[in-house]
Amino acid sequence: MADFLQMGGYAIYIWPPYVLSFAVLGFIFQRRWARLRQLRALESAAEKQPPEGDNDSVKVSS
Amino acid sequence: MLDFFANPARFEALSRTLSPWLLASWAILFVIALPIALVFSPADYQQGDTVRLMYIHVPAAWMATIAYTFIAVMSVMAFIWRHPIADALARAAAPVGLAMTGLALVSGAFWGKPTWGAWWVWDARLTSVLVLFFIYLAYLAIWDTISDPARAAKFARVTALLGFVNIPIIKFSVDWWNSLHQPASLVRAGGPTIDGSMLTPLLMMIAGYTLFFAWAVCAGAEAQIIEARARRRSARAPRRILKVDGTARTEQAEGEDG
Repeated sequence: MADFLQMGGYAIYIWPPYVLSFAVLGFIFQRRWARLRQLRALESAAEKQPPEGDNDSVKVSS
Repeated sequence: MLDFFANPARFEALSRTLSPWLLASWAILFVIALPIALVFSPADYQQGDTVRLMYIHVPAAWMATIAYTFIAVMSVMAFIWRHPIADALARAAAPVGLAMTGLALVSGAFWGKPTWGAWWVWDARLTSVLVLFFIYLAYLAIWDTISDPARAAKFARVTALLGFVNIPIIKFSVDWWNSLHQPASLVRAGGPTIDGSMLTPLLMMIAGYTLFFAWAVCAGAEAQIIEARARRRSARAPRRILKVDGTARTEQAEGEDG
């Protein structure tokens, strides 16, 4: 295991780009997934909401 | 075929169907390819284990140019055929392309230091990829800074098409100029020069990155379609106006087309 992590003495050059690559892919995935879920939920809520203001002129209660 | 998916609702349905398959294929490819790339593939006889950077550097560099080519093709489609989804697809691809270009530059620097003895050299390949990074930034800045969407789309398309000149320069830079960067070893006449033990995980990683890009573009474009629909819905919704005499009146909003 230690040999694997040392990568023939080049660990300092190999692991940081690997970690950064997966962090960036994970970040893009999380951002897009969360945004899409949020928008779908908002749209679904908006579709369920009844249309407001059917009357042409409504007296405001004070 | 292209006309068929020009309809936002049809594209959305396709995106919802494809997305889980794209994500699952991406995950499976990574789970299989990573152990092969990091453990089972051999070290290079000259570069040693630093060659393992190839499995993230080459896919990132590949996606950087493919994403830009995709943006340029979508810009042409938006210009000529006024394909309604083309701008959304191009805009969704740009942040991913920017990230891939950044990853290619950073992983290349980490590969360059032990191999060439320098993090960075003003070599034709490296410099042209850095230029691509700035073109992506300019493209995204146009979308973010111009408030009128139609005007932003027009400027973004022109920028995308002008910037496309850089793509063949990146591809052929190692042939046209003396370069520290190795010549093409994957996409070249006569086939790849990489041994099968390294080529297999490399192709799997490239396929994985491509699937991820496809998913990210579908998700980004779908989000833009939903946002546009929400904007139209809010523009159409009746507005309640409070009058000075204490009555409220509802009014149909005007302005945006449906």
